[in-house]
Amino acid sequence: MKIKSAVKYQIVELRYGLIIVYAIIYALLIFQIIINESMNNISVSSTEFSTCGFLLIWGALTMRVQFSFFLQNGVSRNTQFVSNVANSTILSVGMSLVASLNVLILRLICGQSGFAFQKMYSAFYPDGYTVRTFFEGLLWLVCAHLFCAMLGLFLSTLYYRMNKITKIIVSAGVPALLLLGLPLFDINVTHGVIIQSIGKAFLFIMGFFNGNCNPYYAVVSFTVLAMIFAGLSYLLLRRAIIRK
Amino acid sequence: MHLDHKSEIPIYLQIAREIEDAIFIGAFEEETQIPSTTEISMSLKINPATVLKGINLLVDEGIIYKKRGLGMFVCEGASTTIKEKRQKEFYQNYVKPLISEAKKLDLQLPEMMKLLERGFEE
Amino acid sequence: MNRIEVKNVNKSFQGNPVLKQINLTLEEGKIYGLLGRNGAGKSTLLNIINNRLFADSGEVRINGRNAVENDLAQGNLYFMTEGSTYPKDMTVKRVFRWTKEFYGGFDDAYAAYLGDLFQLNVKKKVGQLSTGYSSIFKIITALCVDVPYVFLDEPVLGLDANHRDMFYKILMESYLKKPRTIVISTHLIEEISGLLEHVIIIKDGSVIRDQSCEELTHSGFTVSGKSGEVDAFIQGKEVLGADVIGGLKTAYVLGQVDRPVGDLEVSPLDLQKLFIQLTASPGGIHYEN
Repeated sequence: MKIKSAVKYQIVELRYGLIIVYAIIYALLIFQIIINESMNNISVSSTEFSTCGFLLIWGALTMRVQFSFFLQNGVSRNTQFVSNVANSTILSVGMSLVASLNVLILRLICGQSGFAFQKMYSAFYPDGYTVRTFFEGLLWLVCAHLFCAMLGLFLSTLYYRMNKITKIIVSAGVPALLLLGLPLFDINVTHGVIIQSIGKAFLFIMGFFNGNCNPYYAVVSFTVLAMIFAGLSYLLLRRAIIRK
Repeated sequence: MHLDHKSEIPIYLQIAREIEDAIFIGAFEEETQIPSTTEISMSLKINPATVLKGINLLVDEGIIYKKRGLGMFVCEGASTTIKEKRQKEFYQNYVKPLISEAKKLDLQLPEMMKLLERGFEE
Repeated sequence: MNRIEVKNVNKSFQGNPVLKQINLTLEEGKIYGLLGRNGAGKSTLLNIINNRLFADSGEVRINGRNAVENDLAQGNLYFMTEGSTYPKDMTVKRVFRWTKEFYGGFDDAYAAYLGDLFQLNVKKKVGQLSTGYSSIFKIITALCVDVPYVFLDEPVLGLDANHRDMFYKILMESYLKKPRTIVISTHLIEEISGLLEHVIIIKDGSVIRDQSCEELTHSGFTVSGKSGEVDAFIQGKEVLGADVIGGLKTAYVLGQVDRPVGDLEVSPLDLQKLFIQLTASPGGIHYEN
């Protein structure tokens, strides 16, 4: 079946990337452990978000590298999409598991929590790092990874479908609008209301409100956003053709 | 075997004639096997369907026959069959064009006879 | 019902019609030649059949199944394209490995034999191959995949005469070993005409000929001689075109020679000549200084 082969291909071709990413992650971890042992109680930062970036980049490179290859091997766009989602899920779960286990190991070795997740939602975990923290953290990470992968995939497909002019307009225009246009407008016309609202909204979807916090808000937000970006990617992929 | 892609004679006919020539001069002896369709197709780079058409033509004329599971073989008496066939075609294939060319060059019958005599003497 | 059916396919690019009401059938086990000038629509048609491009209207059926976005249907096809579809840093060896994975059947032994024959280094990366060897590696891949329909778009691009000769031989060899449908789109008509069983000619987006090669190669003739005599001879006949030098005229005529030739010279209109006459743009070559 083409889909099995497609998933296999995507994972096998990632082997070097995965090796490099984890080599760096573990090197950093070991480095931190050594520093901690020698200098005692330097706060150890965790690396659980670095793999989110990896998946974002992986998603962003998908179209350019794999689209024509898959078509050449008779893999339809529909199957490609399913394979991309399947792969993202496998990688998200796998990488989140590894990250969560790394935190456990760190705790065992350094005796303190380098878990950014726990620190962010400390109000939700009054009892500190428990079994619940581990599993909820894992869930949160899986959804965060999935979101990053789907965002990357969406960007990849979007850029693949755009012609040169549109690409320039979007690449220059969108950042300009958001980073220059919006703030300027906000400062002068609406007196900071827009940016404040955006800030509040962002915190809300991540689960921070009125001094309380709840990671499940973020889980839902990440999942919904992942599904939206996945859907948009599919719509863009459906009529994609090979670029010369 | 050689083919002329620019000739007005269809390829399958050329193939048939080439095999016929080879049989006629004794290169393929009677009751022996001739190259297979596959071999001819590959070495001449001609579609096997075309080769087959030429082969079938020779089968129809009684020059070769098919032995099931073994291949194509030259019929007994093929040389005689070919000779008789070519004698019949001699007028059409050689005499008519000769006369046509002779007429263009204003060569009359007596001159032609002299040329033919000379040809047989040499 | 093993065939590929193209029904009423239309395709336009930015308002320009490139394929107009294309109807054809590709039967199993035959070698087809798909001929047409640059821009006639050949590649577009092949791309539509192979799910690379989408037709504006019409349908393509492979062994009865709809071809569009259908893994099962597309699993019967292999398309060797002009451009490069493999990652530049993938070695030829890995291409073979993945082709085997995706298509389920790949003749490794035959691939090795062909690789040696053409002296192809399978450890080389796809992006490092010259134009010629790029074609060679793609040809080998196409001939070793186990599918009933193989499409070759300009297979001999960049190949020297020796390699082209070898290609035609191994094409026959492979076809004889495993008869299947092979569709070849090429500009080198003379070289390929002997290999073809059926010919499809596309002109300006329409199919103008869809016949057996043999019928086509004997569907016309050329007649040359004194202009006046040629004109008399071609009266009432379907003339494709003519060349005139001084008082000499050469006419390209469809049909058979059915009247006395006299002093005129008659010769065959082979596939390439027929193609040129059928697809020539109106107007001759006139350079006035």
